[in-house]
Amino acid sequence: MSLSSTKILIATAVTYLAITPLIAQAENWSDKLVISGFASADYHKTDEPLPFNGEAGKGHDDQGSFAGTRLGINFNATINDKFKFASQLFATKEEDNYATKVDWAFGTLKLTDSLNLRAGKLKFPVGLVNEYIDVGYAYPWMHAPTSFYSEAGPNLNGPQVTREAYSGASLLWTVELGDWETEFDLFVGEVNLEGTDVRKLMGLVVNLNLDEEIFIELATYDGNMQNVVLEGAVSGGSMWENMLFIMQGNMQGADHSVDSFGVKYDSNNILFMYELANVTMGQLTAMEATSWYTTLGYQMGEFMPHVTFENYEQGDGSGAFDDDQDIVTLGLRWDYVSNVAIKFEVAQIKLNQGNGMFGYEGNPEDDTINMFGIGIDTVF
Amino acid sequence: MNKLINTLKPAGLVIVYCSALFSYSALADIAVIANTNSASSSLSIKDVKKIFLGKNTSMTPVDQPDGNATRNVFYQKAAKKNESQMKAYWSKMIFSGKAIPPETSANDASVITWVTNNKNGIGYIDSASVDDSVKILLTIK
Repeated sequence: MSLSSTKILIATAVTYLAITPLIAQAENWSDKLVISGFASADYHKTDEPLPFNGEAGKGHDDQGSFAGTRLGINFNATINDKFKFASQLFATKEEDNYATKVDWAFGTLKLTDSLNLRAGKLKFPVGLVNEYIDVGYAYPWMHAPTSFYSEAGPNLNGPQVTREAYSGASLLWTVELGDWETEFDLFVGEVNLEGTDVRKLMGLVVNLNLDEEIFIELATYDGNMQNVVLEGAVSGGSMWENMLFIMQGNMQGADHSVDSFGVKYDSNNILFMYELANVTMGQLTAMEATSWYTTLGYQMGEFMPHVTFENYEQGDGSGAFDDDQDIVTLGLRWDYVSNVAIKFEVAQIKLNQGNGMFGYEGNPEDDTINMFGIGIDTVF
Repeated sequence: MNKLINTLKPAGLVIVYCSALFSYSALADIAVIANTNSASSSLSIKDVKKIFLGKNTSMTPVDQPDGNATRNVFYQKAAKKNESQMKAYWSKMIFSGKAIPPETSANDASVITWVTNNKNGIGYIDSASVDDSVKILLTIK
């Protein structure tokens, strides 16, 4: 058992021992259970046969795709003043099936009015929207900007800024700094990426919030890559498959590090967001990446038109892993009725270098790809 | 890409121009009320905002129902957010497991009843509906 696993086990055991008496004291706890849900149905079509942001059957291509369609059921149980538990079941379209999983499940123990300990499987806290990234209703886009929020696919193309969830513990400390509500989230744990692990994960996220109008996030985390899945070809494959095999082998044991900055203004009908992140993977310059996006939107009654620019660069000068991709998206959110939003988007993806997030199953026919999407989001 | 960016520039100007068309109009005063035995005698609008957004758990809030005019004005004045923005806010809080929204009560009269039955309770109603069974912590004009 690794040191990080031991720490998580100890943290979970300590939390369990702490909360057991509290659970026993809880009366009519089922009355305090709140069940909520969300769903998004998205359709995208591009003018490129190769799939964008996913493998064939999972990404968006010229055949049109409902990839990204998703459903979540959330359980929030307030056991008592000191302890609450929350969990989320999540299903997303994968080819013709909807794979269901426990997206996250954690307990929160209130240590003091300003200090909370959380343990279990938690949503990864890096990124302004990552903790609710699947809830399309909560933001203007059909999905969060892929140049920042998508996890790298099996071919290692795509940003590795943030992750879906981690197993571990988090200490949340909230303090007032002048008019700013400041939250420090110190977290430890590990992440499993469909076989590959990020172990010895430790990070700190600082969130500053001015009256729910201005948000600033500073985040940093480190982890160590273990059990890296080798999906390339040791020999006999294409040049790309052979290089992929070597790169994945070199990632074994590499220290993975991310620093990010984000700012959001959401008031007086104006929405502005900007996030920037730098990613390193040990000494592997081919895996160094920079991702950023910025969004501007304006609420006009039930409509919010918005525009987003995003860029993702990886492995500058590294040859096969050198990617530089711009995306500009023009979108409209329409709050059609209560709890239901309809969204329209048109986007242009520009490949300045490499295949960007189109993978390496082939080369895109053009370096400029157009995409449109229509979707509907609901919460209930 | 440059062609598309040039296309988007006028759209930005249109967005700024349209802001003048959607100015907020003032409605009736709103009274933030509490139990007469509450330890609090007054609150700032910032305190009220934190309580109703789940950021301050020192008091237990009760909300007006979805679509209620008083509710929409309250959040517009206290949090500078309209109905859909508030729904988006609670979506973030609920689906990240951080907080759940306040319990709701049907109308001003039932909010008063709820507050009188909860020593630590806090609610908001049209100021014209206030009676002696509750005390006013803040009047939002």
